[in-house]
Amino acid sequence: MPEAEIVTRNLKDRIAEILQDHTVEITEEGIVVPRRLIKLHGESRIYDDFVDTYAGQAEVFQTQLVERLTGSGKTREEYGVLFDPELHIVGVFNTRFGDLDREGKRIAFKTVNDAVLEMATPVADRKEIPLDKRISGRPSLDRTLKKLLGELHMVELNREGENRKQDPHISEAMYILPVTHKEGLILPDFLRAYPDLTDLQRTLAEQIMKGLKMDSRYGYLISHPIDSSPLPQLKYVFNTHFARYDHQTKRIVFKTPQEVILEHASRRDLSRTDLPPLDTPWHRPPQSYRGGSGVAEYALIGRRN
Amino acid sequence: MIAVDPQVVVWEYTLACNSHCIHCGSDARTPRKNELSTEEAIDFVHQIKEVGFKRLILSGGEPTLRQDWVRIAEEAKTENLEVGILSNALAWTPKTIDALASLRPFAVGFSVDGEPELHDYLRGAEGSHQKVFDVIHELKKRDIPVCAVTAVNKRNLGSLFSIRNRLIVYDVDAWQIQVAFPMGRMASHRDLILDAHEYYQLGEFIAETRERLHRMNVQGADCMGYYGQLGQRVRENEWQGCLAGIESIGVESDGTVKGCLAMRILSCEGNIREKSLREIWEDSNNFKYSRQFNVSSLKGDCRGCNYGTQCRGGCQTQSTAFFQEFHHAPYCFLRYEQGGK
Repeated sequence: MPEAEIVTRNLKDRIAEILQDHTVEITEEGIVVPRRLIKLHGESRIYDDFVDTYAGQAEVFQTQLVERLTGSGKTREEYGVLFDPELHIVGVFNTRFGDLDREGKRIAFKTVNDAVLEMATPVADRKEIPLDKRISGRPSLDRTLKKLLGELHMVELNREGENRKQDPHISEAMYILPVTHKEGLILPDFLRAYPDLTDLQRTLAEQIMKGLKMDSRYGYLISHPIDSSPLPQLKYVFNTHFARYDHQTKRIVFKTPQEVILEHASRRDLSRTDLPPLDTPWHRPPQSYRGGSGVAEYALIGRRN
Repeated sequence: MIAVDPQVVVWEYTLACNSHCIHCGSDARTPRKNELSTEEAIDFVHQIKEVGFKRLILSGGEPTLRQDWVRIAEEAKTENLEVGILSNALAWTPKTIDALASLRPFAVGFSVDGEPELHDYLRGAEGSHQKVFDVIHELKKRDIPVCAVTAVNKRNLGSLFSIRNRLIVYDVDAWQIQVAFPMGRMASHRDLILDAHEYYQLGEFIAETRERLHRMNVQGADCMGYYGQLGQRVRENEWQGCLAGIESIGVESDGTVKGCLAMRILSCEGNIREKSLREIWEDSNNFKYSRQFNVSSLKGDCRGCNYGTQCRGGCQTQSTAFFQEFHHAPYCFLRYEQGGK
C-alpha cells in the first residue's frame, strides 16, 4: 500500500556516495573547490539559455540573430549541474555553450562569437571548439536553474502528517529532477528504501539482487527556499525502480517490497532459493487425523492440533 | 461401517458473491432465498460445538458480504471452536482486518488463480488480484496465517510457477492446489478441464514444490491422487479415502447439510431447520456413500483396483461432478502410471 515519507527511505546518503565519483575541481574566485558534476536533460528554448549564459556579454544584434536562428520552439538540451559537497546546487549550464575543463579546473564557455557562429553553421559542418579557445565563466545560478527546475519539474508535495517544526505554510519550492545513474548496485538502494524488511524479504532480496548492477533513474527532490538567498539543496532521493511521484496525491509512493522482489525475480525459481526456516507451531507439518490431507477442495490447510 | 470423528464444518455462510469466477462450483452470485438468520446461525454454532466438531470454516459465496459474519465467528470462538475464513477479499476494509486480528483465526484463505490479468479474468473481478495481495500483506504484518487456494484449469496450469514465486515472496503460510471440476459455472467451460496428462503434470508440480519448499505448507487437495509414485508426494500422508460425512460436513446457507460443501448432487442429508445437527450427524442412514462404503460400490476404472478398499474411489465431490455417481475417480495417478487415463 502506498506510503509517503520524506524523512525516511531517503537515498540521499547513497547518492552522496555515488556523486563522489563525479567530483571535479573548479576554481571559484581564485580558490579551487570540489564540486559534483552531473548531466541531465530537459526541454528548453535555446535562445533563453543563450541570453542567460551571455548576459552582459552579447550584443543586441547577436541575441536577435540567435532568436532568429533558433526560433521559439523547445529542444532537448543537455545541462551540467554542479553541486557542492553538501549537495546544494551551485551552478547549471547548457553544455551547448559550456563544458568542463578538467585541467584548467573550470567550466569553459565558448565565446559569444563562437557560440553564435556555431548556431549559424549547419550541424554537419560544425567543429568542436577546443577548451583552450574558450573563456572561463560562472555557471548560472539564476534564470537557467529556475527555468530548468521550474518549467519542467516543479512539484507540490503533500507533507501532511509530517512532523514539521517549521511554518506549515509553503516556504520553499520543491522540484524533482530525474537523474539517471548507470550500472549502479541495486541492493543497497533497496535495503535503504525498505528499512523494515522481514527476514524472508531480506534473504530473497540479497539472493536475487546481490551484485546486480542496473541503470537507475532517480528522482532528486530539490528544495529551494522562496524568499531567501540559500541555495537550492538536494533534500530527498528516490529510485524510480521502487517509487514514483504521484501527481494526484502529491506524494512519493513506494511499491511494496514484495512487488519489487517479484519484478527482479521474474525468471528465477524462488522455490530453489535458501529461505530462512520457521519454527513456529503454525509451520510444523500438519498432522492428519487419519491421513487425509484436507477436507475436500474448500478446506484450509494448516495446523491441526 | 467406518467410525466417524467430527472435526470440521465448512459453512457456506451466504451464496452472495461479489466475484463471478468461471470455475465456481456453487454458481454463487445472489443469496439463497431462505438463508439462515443471525439467530439461527448462532444456534447452529452451538450445535456444531455440541456434536463435537473442532473447527469451523466460513465460506461462501463471499462470507464477509453478510454483516453479521464477525458476530458468528466471535460466537464460535466463545465456543472454543477454531475459526477459519475463505474469502475473495474484495469487500475488505481496514475494519475487516481489525476484526480478524481480534478473532485470531487459525487461517484465512484466499483464492489465487493466476498472475494479475489472468486471476482477474478467471474471477470476473477487475483488481481482485491486487486487492487479495494488499490484504495478504496486511494480514502477514499482523501475523495472521494466510492460505492460498488455487483451482487449476488449462488456462492457469502454466502460471503455477509465477504464482508460486509470488506466494513465496508474500510469505503465504500454506497453499492448497486443486483442479476445477465440471460443475456449477465450470460445467459451461468443460474445454478448460485438465486432461489426465495435465493432471499428472500438476501432481508432479505439487510434489516437487512440497519437497523443495519447506517454509510453505503445500498440499494437493483431496481431488489430487491417488497412490502410485506421486500419491504420497502430494500430501502429508497416504490417502485414506474421502472424509466427507466422516470427519467433515458442508452446510449450505439455508441450513442444508451435506458431507462436503462442494458436492452438488446426491448429497443432501437433512436441514437444520427440520432436524438438529446431532440428529443429522448421528442418523445411520446418512452419509452412506462414505460411512457404509463397500468395495462393490466402486464404479468405472476404480472397480477392481487393489487400493479400492482404502481409496473408496477418491474425492466424492469430484466423482459426482464428472459422473453423477460416487466412487468413480475421473483422475488417478496410479491409473495414469499404469497406462490408463
